[in-house]
Amino acid sequence: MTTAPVIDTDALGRLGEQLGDPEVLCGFIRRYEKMLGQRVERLHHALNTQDHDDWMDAVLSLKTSSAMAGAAALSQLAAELQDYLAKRPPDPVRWPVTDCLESVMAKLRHLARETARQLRLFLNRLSASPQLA
Amino acid sequence: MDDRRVAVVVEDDEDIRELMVALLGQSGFEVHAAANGTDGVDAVKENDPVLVTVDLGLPDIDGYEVTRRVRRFTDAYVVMLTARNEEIDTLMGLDAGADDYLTKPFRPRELRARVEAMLRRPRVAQAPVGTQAPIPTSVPAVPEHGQGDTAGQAAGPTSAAAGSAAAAPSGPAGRTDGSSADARLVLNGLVLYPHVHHVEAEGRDVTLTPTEFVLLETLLRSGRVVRSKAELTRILRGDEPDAGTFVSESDERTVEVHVGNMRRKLGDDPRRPRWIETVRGIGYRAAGAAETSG
Repeated sequence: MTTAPVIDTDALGRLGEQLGDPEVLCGFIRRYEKMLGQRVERLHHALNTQDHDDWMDAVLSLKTSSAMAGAAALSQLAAELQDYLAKRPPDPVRWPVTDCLESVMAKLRHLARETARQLRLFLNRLSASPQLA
Repeated sequence: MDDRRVAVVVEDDEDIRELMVALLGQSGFEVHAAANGTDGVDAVKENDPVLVTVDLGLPDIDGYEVTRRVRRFTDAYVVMLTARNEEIDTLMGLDAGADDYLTKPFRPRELRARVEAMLRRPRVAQAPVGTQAPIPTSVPAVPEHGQGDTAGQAAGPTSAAAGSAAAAPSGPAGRTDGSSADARLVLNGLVLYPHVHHVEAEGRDVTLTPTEFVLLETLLRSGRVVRSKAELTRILRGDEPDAGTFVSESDERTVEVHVGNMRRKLGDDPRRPRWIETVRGIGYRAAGAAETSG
């Protein structure tokens, strides 16, 4: 179970420092936050249809983009989900039973909402004092 | 000389794609972006980039196929991005003709450093079609395709190679010859034409990636001198071989993979090498002193 913070502001600070331009950082975070819902629903769809390739693409996309956007808890949860199925042979895949699936998706959705909320707060703070980046 | 720096980014995740566009824009590139593999191949055809970044997992054709296709008509540096750490992805990416790979998530600093290092690499000059330099009839300016995986290097007038070659600060270690198109290095039936980016093994055309070509040329020019994997890594970066700059295990492993792919294309058996010998625990050297002519 994930123990990482929802938002790793140190990681965002490092990203901002490396980008060297608050506008680029804000643009990236806004796009990430906008795409969060569709990333989670893509995972849900892949689980429902038991499409292993789509599942792996979706979970990797969520994991890596979240890591870059400082969304540490979501990235860690995605990594755990990746491991959960990746360690099993792809044919036949042992997909989670429906109850478990709904529980995982509920947790993902909740975490995605909280991540989006905290990122918006971060963006608000950033526009108030750009030196945060 | 056309000194513009054009890059094409092929990435389906919009947030990552736009971030890369911004990053490469900061590095002075004119950047064109594509959200799928087919559009990416078209963008490379249309824009003649010196750099192409390709995500492995694309919605239509995957990053390997994109790389194979663009390799048929461009000598641009290709960086493959992958979200999977498994070694097989790296190996296959390199085999598809990528010059380098980067694991996602990546740090902006790391992407910039890789790109700048690649652009410092010695790029092999190619003879544009219509050049006044005499090209021997046995050496096509544009290597023929249709053999094996045809990861070919085009040398047409629209190729980015000429520009990037001219911009490269130095050639492979030890390069001293002139610029004649028929200059060659010959070793036991292996012939390498440095200026037309062409290799023949026992009379058979061999299509090498730019990175493999630089490694082979460097080893042939080094004679029986052993080149360590760290030295070869630095040469590929465009550094001096003895610069002492940091080389990771992953960098050395990348050189091993490139050499392995090169040997397979040449048909050189590492247990009974005709051209490239492994010096266990150190690196590689040519199996003999190559003759230079032209």
